[in-house]
Amino acid sequence: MSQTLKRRGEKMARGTILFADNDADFLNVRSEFLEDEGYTVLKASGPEEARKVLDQQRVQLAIFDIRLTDDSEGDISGLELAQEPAYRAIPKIMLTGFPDVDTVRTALRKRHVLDELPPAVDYIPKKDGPEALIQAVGDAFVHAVRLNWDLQIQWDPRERLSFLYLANLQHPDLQDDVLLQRAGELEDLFRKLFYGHRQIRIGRLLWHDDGRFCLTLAAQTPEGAIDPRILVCGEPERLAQELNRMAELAPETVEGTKLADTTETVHFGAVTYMLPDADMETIQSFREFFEGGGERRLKTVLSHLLSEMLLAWHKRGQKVEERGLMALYRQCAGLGGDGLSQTDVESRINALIQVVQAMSGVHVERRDGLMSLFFPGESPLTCPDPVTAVYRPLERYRTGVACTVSPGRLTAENMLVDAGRRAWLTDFARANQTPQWWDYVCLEAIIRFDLSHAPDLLAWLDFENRLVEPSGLHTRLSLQDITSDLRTSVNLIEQIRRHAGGRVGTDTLPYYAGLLAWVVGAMAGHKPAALYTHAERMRAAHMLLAAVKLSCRLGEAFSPSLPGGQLHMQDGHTVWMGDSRIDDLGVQELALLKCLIERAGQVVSRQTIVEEVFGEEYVADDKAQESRINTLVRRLRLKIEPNPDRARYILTLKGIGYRLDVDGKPSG
Amino acid sequence: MKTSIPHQFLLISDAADDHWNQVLREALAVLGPLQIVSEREAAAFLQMHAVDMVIVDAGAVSSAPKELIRQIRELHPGARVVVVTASPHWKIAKAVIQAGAADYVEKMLNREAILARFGKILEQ
Repeated sequence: MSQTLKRRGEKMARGTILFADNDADFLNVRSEFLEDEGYTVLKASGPEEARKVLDQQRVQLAIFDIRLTDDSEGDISGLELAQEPAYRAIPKIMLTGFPDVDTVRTALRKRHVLDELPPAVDYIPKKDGPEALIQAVGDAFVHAVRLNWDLQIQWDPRERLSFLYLANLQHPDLQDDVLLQRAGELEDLFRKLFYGHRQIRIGRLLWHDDGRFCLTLAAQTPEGAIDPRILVCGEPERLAQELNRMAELAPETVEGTKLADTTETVHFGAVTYMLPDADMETIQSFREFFEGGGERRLKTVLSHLLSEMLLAWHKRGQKVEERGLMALYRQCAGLGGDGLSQTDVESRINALIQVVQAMSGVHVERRDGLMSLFFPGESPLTCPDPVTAVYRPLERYRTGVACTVSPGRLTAENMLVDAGRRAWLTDFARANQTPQWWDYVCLEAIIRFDLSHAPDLLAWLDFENRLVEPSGLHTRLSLQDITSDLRTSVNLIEQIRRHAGGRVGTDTLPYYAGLLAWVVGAMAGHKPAALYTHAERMRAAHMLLAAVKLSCRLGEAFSPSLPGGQLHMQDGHTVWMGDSRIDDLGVQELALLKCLIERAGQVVSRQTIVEEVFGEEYVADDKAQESRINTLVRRLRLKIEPNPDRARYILTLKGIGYRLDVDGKPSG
Repeated sequence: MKTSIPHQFLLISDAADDHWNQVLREALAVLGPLQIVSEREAAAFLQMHAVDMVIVDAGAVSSAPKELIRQIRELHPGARVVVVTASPHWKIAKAVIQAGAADYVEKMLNREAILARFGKILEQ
C-alpha cells in the first residue's frame, strides 16, 4: 500500500461509511479492507436496510452496489437509491460487477447544473479489487465529503450550547441514540461549512422557530482574519426554500444582510450570512435593545429599519393580488393555506379564553357572532367576534390588493441591532409578496403585544383605546390616560404609522385589519401549558382585548351594504362571488358548495348532503349526522355569506334541507 | 422546442466532411446554429465567441477528450460540453463526465433523437 494511502487512512480515521451490497461475502471482505484503513463501516444488505441506516445514523459516505436487490439484469435498485433526493447530500460510490455506459451516465452526471453533487461521485467495477475501492473512498473523502477535521470548534461558555442541544432543538422527539447520531451529523455540517477555516467560535442562540435555529459565530481563516457570521440551520428542504426566496426576492443592497455560504447533510441544511461591519460581540436582538430603554435610541433604530432595510425589500417590486386582503393576511398570520384550520384556531382561542378567565373577575363570552369581555370595574365590551371576522372578506379590499416584497415575518428576536444602532434582518424563510401594510403591522404588533408592559388591565384598555382611535395613519396618537410604562410604545407606534402612511397611504382600515389578523394568529399560536404566570395571563388578556377593540373598529367594514355578485364555480374547484374569488374553502366545504351549485334553486335534502358530501349512508334522526351537517353549513356560511346569521345564499328550508340562491338576493 | 433566442453550438472535429456533422447541424437547426471547427482552431474560436454547448467528437480529435474538456471549461465555464463517439465505452464515459462533461453520447443518425437528447442537456 502506498504511503499516500496510509496517510489518508490515518487522516480519515473518523470517517463513517455505509456499505450496501446484497452479496454478504463480498460485503464483509471489502468492509474489512476499509476498516483496516481506519474507517467505520455500517453494513446494509438491501435498499430498505440502507435507508434505515441513512435515516438514523451519522453517515459521511455511502457505497452502493448497483444491483442491490436480486442481482437480476434489470436490477438497478442501488442506483435508484443513490438518486433519491432525500440522500442527495451524501457523496456516494457505485460498485458494479457489470459496468456499462448507461449506468455510468446515470450515476455520475449531475441532474442539474446547480446540483452540488451528482448521484454518485465515483463508479468502480468490483473486479478492480479492494485497492481501487480504497483509493476511491480516500478521494471521495478529500474531494466530496470535504469535512474539515482540523477545525477547532469553540463554544461560548456563557451560552451552554452544544451540538446535542441544537440537534434536540430541531428534532425534540428523537430517541436518545438517534439524537446522538444527529448531534454528530450536525458537527459534520459545521466541519463541511467551514472547510477553509481554522477555527470557529459559536456565540449565542439568537432565535429558534419551527425547527430552525439561528446562531452568532466568528470563523477564523488560516491567515488569522475573523469572519463574523450568523448561521441559520434547519431541515434541508426548508433551507433550500429560504435560499430560493432569497435569490428571487432579496434586494442587492450594499449594507444589508448578505448570503455567505450554504451546505447540507441528510437532515440539516445551513446558511451563513454576513452582517458587514457589525460587531457580533455586542449585537443584540431587538427585544434586548428595546428592554435597554431610551426612546431616542429606539427611534434611531426604527428609522434605520423603516427607511433602509425594509424599504430596500419593498422596492423590489409591487404586484396586485387577485385574492382579497383578509385571505392574504390569514396566510401571512399562519391562519390559511398550510397554516391552522379555522377549527384549530377556534379551539386554541377557546383554550386561551380559559386561561384569561382564570384571572380574577375576568369573563369572556362568545355567542351569536359576538364576543363580550367583562373586566372588573368596567362595563362589558361587546363587539363582532374577532375570530369570525378574520375569516370574512373586507368589503373594500375583496380583490386587487397591492402587495410588496416582504423579508418574512418580523419578530423581536429575528431583528438584530448592532452597536451603531443599525438594524439587521436574519430570517428570510417566509420572504414573499405580502399586502403592502404587513411589515409595518408586524413591527407595530411586536412593540404593542410582545415588548410593551402595563401594570394592569385598565392600563391596557387605555392603551388600546388610544391606538384604535385614529382614522388616518398620519394622525397623532394621544397620550391621554396612557401610563408612563407605555408612552414610549405609543410614540414608537406613531413613528411606524407615520412612515407607513407616507409609503402606502393613510387609510387605517387595511392596517387595522392586518393587526387583527396578526393578533388572532398570535392567539391561535398559543400552545396550551399546564401552568401560566400572571404575566402570561395578562398578555393573553391584552391580546384578546386588542382583538375585540380592532374588531369593533372594523365591524362596519366587514358587514357593510351587502355585496352583490353571483356565486359560481370554475373548473370544479375555484369559487367566485361576482368578481371576488372565495379562498380557503376546505375539502368538505367545497364539496358541499359544489353539491348546492349543481342544484342551484332546487331543494337539496339532508340525505343528499350526507351521501354526496360525506360519502356515507343517510340515517334518519342520526344526531351525529345532523350535527355534522349543521356545522359544515355554518362553516361555509361564514366564508361566503356577507352576514352568516342572515343567510342570503344558503337558505334553510326547515325540516327539508337547503336551497342555494346563487344571486344571494336579500329577502323581503 | 423552438426557442426565441437561438442557442450557439460548436462542434470540434478534425473530420470536416464527416456526414454525421451535417446530420447534427440539421438536427439542431431548430435550437440554433452549429459551427464546426478543427481542434487546432477551437481555442481561438472559443476566445472570440460565446457558445452554449461545445460538442467534442472523440473520434475526430487527437487530444484526449479529458484534456479538451479542461481547456474548454477554462475558456467557457458556463458552456455545456458533450462528448460524442461512434464506439462508446464505460471507462471513457466515466473519465469525460468526471472531467466535467455534461454528457457522453453515442452518435446516432435519427435527427429527432439527436434533437431530444441535446435539447434535454440544454435544459439541465
